Amino acid sequence: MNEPPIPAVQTFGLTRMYGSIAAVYKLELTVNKGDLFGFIGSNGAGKTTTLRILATFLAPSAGTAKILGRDVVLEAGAVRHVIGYMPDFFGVYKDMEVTEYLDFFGACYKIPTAQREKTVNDVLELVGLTEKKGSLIGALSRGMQQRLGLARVLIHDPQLLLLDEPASGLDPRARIEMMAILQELQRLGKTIIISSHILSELQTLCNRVAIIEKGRLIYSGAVQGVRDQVSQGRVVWARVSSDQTQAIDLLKARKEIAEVAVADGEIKVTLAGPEIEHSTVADILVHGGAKLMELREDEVGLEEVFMRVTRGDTQ
Amino acid sequence: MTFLPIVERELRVAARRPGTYRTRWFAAMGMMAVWLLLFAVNRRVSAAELNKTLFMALGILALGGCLFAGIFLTADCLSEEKREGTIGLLFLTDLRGYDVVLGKLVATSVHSVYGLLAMLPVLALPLMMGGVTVGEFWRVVLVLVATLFLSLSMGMFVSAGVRDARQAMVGTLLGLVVMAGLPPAVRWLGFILFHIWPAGVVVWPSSACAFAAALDAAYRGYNGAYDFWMSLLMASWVSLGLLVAAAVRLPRAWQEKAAGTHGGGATVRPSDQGAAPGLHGRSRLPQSPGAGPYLWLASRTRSSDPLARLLLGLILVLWLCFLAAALVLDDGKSAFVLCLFTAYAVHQVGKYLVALEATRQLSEDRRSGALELLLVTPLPEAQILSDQKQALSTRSRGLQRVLLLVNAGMCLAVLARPKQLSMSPTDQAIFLEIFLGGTLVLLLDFKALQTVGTWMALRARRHHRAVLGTLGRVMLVPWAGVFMLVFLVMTRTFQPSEMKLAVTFGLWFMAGTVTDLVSSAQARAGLKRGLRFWVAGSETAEQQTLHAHGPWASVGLNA
Repeated sequence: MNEPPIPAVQTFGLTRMYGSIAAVYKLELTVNKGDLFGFIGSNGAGKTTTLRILATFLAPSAGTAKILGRDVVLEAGAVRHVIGYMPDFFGVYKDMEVTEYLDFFGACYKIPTAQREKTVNDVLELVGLTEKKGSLIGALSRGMQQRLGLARVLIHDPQLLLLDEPASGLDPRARIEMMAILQELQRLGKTIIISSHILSELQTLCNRVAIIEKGRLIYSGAVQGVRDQVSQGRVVWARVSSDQTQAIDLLKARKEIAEVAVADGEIKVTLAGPEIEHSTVADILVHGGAKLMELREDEVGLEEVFMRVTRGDTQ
Repeated sequence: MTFLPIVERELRVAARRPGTYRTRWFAAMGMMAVWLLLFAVNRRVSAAELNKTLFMALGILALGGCLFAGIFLTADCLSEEKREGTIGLLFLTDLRGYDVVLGKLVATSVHSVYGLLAMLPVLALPLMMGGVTVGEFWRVVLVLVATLFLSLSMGMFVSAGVRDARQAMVGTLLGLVVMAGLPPAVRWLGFILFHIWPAGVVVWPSSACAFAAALDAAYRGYNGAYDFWMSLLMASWVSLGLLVAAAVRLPRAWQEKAAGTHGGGATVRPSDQGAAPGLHGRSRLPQSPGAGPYLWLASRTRSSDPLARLLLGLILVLWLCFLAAALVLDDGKSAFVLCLFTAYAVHQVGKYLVALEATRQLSEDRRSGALELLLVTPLPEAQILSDQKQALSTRSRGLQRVLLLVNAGMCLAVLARPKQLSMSPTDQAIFLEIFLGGTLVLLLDFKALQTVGTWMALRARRHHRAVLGTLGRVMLVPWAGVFMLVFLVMTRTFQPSEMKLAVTFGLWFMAGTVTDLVSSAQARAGLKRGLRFWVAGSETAEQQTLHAHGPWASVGLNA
């Protein structure tokens, strides 16, 4: 009988207290291998604390966390070899050259000297910084320093990347490029946990998300799942060129449709359940003889989901 | 109020800060404790004479505090903001250079001013008990205020021109040594070499001489009043000049120049700074991070900047002059005494530089977040600490050799010219005990400063506090010993025979050794808790401070 695959990250009742304040409280989180996992929460929600515990920097006050089956406290040394942690600050030595910086961290990961030069060149190429290899870090733009941070994270080819706000403060082009790099990394088989405030990007980038508030997990699962959870009913908009009243009657007569209304000349159709496909509306109208001009579904964005499931509480 | 808005805001912040009141309380209590101790141990002299000596002793203590305040309070205040790029935010508003300079001056110096004010009532006790005149008291107060102003202004001036914390602190110390120590040394040198006293104008810039001139004995002497007021006037004008220069310099120096440029540039390659093979050995330092990454990191920047070399070189030149005079002149006694004082000064400056270096790298790494990045790599904490120890040991070797040579030079003078120095064989033995014992304690002090410095760099929120904490833990007991000894001899409470003197110095070295061992053991115990403990713990405290002080804390205007 096959063993179930080991998750990339698994936490059990993970808690971190600062005095009487629980920055993270009884967090139960599972991230599967290969996931591009979005970690969402307001400022002070506990995202950074969680990532720092997973990165072995902070010890939990209670509970455990495992990275690829290894405990972050008891097997911290082994965990450090398989993770790459990028905090929400640069932490660079401004008077170092780009290659020197990466070479230094390569040495910290005990990459043999002969192999380091090639590794440094490879990661620089991956993040698009090859032309800047001789530059001083202090002379790089914010976006480039962020890329350098990503290169540092990749220097030892980790299996799991923990990225805390990697796109914060970047201009739109740099952000898009950063996201493209992350997608490429996922394609290469990396598991990535990314905390970000730019939810629209996480929505397209991540296959799974977790929402955290006041240190407590509110939701963890597929992006669509959280949408379905918060949606009262999915809404589909239809425009017909034939008799609108007839079309409304056709829809109202079906049990798959919860509600039908007219707004701005379009028919607003609320589906009875999340399992009903929006193509059902097209089927009903076309088979009923209505001339369907346009059909579109109202997407509940991750931002709206976030606003609905959280209360904006911080600690 | 639109005039000096930052000053107003900083005073409001200071009024809300508990530290403001704590500093005042501790300054007053510390001074009171010293007064009681000195008062209690004295048994030999009349009340008037005791009060006079007490006044002098407390005055010297306060003068030392005022003189060196700038190194720890203002020296890194503007340079730190330049490094973090926050000062530009202020200059994007309508604020002028003087707004920022005066704002920062108030922000960083309000504690020292309150501390000085709190000391004055204790200083006034001898005035009420007899032995000190009203004029003498107020003159000393004026000197203390002028010295504090000078020290803080010197810090602001140096800080306006540099970016690096170490350069800022060393530069301020250099400025203060040139102002306060160089004039009397030059005057003495002139007297020893040419048997004439150079004109009083030579020592006008010196706060130490202004303090001496403030005392009745000197003030009522020939030209005493004139020298005192001119000295005070000069200190005040120099201070004002330094502040004006800082205000003019800052708006021109805050912007980051192109990377790779020297001087005011933001980012300078360590290799561009030039090799520094002289005072600090480099031969055993790694050229690539492969062997020991942290060793390479801690060794890669230049170990001593030009200002540190200039500072040490200046005092060493003076020491050499006095030593040469002691060796060459037929009556070299005065030269030898001054040589002894300068040797002591070289040692203290050397130890300050070691404390500065021991706290630098880890302090910077902790503040920039680079240490957190290192701690999530597989590099063991023990290796980081051992690399740091090795780097410090290698980098301070050159300085250590120089200080050992100074002691060797002193031994040479004692052994080669006993007649010219009017020394009996017993005197020779006592001096040899001082220099050889000093050599042993020097080695232990270096080790202790390095261990405690490493620990303090992790504990203190800012570099200058780490330096102060390191010096306080390692050097406070020996300094207090010297202070007590001088006071007891001055009040004739301690009238040592040769034997007693030998035992006293032996005890002093023992106290220094015990302090070194205890402070090192304490630091090692602290380091055993792990780097993560200190880094994560201190960040939590910083976050709490940020919440308490609000957004201004992020632009660094809080002291």
